Amino acid sequence: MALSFFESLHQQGMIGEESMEKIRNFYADSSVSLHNELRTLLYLGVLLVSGGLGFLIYRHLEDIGKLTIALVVLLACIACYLAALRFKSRMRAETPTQPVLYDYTVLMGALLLLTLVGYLQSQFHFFGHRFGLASFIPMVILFITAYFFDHKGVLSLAIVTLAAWVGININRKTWYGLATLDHTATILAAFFLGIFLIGIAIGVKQKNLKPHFGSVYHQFGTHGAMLAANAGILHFDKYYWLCFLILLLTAAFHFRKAIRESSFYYLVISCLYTYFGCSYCVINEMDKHLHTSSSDVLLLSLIYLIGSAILLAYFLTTRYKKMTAHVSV
Amino acid sequence: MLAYNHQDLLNRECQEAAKAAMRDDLLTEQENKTIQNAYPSRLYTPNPFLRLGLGILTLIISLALLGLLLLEISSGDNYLSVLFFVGVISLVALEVAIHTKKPFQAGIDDMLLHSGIAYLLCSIGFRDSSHPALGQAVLALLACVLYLFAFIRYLDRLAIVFSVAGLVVFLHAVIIELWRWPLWTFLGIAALTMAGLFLQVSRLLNKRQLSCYLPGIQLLQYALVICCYGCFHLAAVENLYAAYQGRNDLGNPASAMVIFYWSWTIIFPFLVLVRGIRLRSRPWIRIGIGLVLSLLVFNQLHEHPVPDELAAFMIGLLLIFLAYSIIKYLKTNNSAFNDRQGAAPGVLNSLLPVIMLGSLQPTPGGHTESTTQFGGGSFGGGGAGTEF
Repeated sequence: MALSFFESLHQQGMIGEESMEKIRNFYADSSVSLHNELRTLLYLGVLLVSGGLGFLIYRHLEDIGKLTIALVVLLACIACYLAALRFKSRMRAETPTQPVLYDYTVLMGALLLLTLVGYLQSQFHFFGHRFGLASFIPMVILFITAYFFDHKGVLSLAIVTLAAWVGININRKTWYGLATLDHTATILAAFFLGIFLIGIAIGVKQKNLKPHFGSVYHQFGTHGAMLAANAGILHFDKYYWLCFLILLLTAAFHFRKAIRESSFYYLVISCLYTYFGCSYCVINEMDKHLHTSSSDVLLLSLIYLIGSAILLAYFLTTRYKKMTAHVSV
Repeated sequence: MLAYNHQDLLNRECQEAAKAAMRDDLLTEQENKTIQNAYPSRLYTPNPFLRLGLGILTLIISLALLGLLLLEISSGDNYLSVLFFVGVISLVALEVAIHTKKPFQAGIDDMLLHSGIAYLLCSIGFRDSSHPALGQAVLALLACVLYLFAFIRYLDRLAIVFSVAGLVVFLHAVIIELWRWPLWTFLGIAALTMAGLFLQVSRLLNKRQLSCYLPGIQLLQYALVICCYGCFHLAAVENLYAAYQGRNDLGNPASAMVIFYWSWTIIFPFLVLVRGIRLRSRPWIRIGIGLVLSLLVFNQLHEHPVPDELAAFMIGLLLIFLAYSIIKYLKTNNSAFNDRQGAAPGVLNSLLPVIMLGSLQPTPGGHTESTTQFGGGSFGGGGAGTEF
């Protein structure tokens, strides 16, 4: 049925003979791909095994013994790394295609490494009170793993560990997960880490050192820096204008990047982060300088929100039009 | 009844099919442009990220407008009227937007529709009722009808799923809250309703005049199958518990129920999976896999043969083994299925039935020269209209 549609386009002269031949060959192979479904099952299996094993150990902690657990996790971790090395050597020697379990083995090894370090620290105080060392060592190993095995997932884990090392904690104390985002030290750490990661992203692309890792660094860097700038605007009483200026500069950089690379993703996030920061500043200034009742300030704030959101939506759609006019579909 | 122009929708599907074919290197850029020009669509459908951004901004405007109006009224009772008013305003704004700028899956239309219906339902649901059960039933029925209307008029696929949810809540409110019947009767009636609806909906699939609704109808089918399976399963379990505890008014149907429970719980998921494999339909295969997984979960929940963590570990190992074995098999054997990345046939096959059912013909007067203005209107690009 689908082929007949393209055949009719071909008869009308919209599709050339060469392309039509490709389409015929394409539909001649009527097999259906189950790639995503099978990968989902595999991923779910890995999660269930690692989660189930974790709970199994937790429930039977007394029966098994701390040292035995640490040894089992260590052995499993080493086994995963050895299997990944074997896959890697086979990839070099036999075929350039990646074995099915390669990605999952590397990821499992990296996750077990983190589990092991956490377990050693909590049960044996392996690193004593030097908590920084407990995140620094796995971070270094994870970065080496990511670069050696060329694995973006492990690189993401390494960046998260780097964030933990510089003092950004993720826990369940607040609904958004970041318990200390209202602390000056955390805001500064997040901002400088974000800028550092953006710098690394630019560096790896320019130096051609695994340039495909650039997008991972940039994602973390952009969100880290802009989130920290917004948190700074909310947190600092005197210097929030400085944070707003930093937010504007960061947004301008990403806006230029969006235009240069025709990236709608960076266009939208740079505009939205700036909008939230800008709205807070405007409403805060109205509250400070307008000597009217709080209900009047609220009224003006709501009018501002409606007007500014309409303007931003208009700006985004017109910018989108300009960008798509230069980009081929 | 449809808010959008039928031809625009068909042309948009055709454009999407051509783009998908070009992405898979089946068409050249020039050929793609020619097809885009021959099938112009005035609908505005931006990039998914922009859709998200526009959706967030629309929600901010909608909430700020609601806050503004609430601020202006002083009486406590009037807030429900304001909610109702903002709901109506949202839906009117949606109609105006569609007739002027033609947004389709653009974030603005999605958010106006869902926030509008949510405000309307809240304005009715928050009213004090002397009969709460009746109020709940009326609200659920209203939600079901409104979301069904939203699907029919605006082709919103999420709305049809909400409509099914509204129907289930309505049945629950009537059977459990109003009539005070036992839970298993509600579950049984809900399952039978879903099965009946599924049969009725299946007849709509090949109707030419409903071609634009095809993706939504398919989604509705999947929602109905999942609901039917879950309701029948829970009905059987509830009936068994009731029989064991002597709460069942129908005597002791436990043995028959046990047979039904096992056959339904175990056989039905595999039947769906086999149907998917026979039809080579990825959605049915996905539902089949989901139902087989739910079979394992249900079994663990009700029978509890091993501790939960051990069950998770064993099911995980089984999944890894099965998935790995199938991947290995597909890599070395020719079959009706493969393990190739990039499911282009899936995209093309999901789009083209809509076009074929709609018996699409090139639009007379559509641009045929090779320019960059290919999306309809004066600027072109991604099916976007120029006026937006």
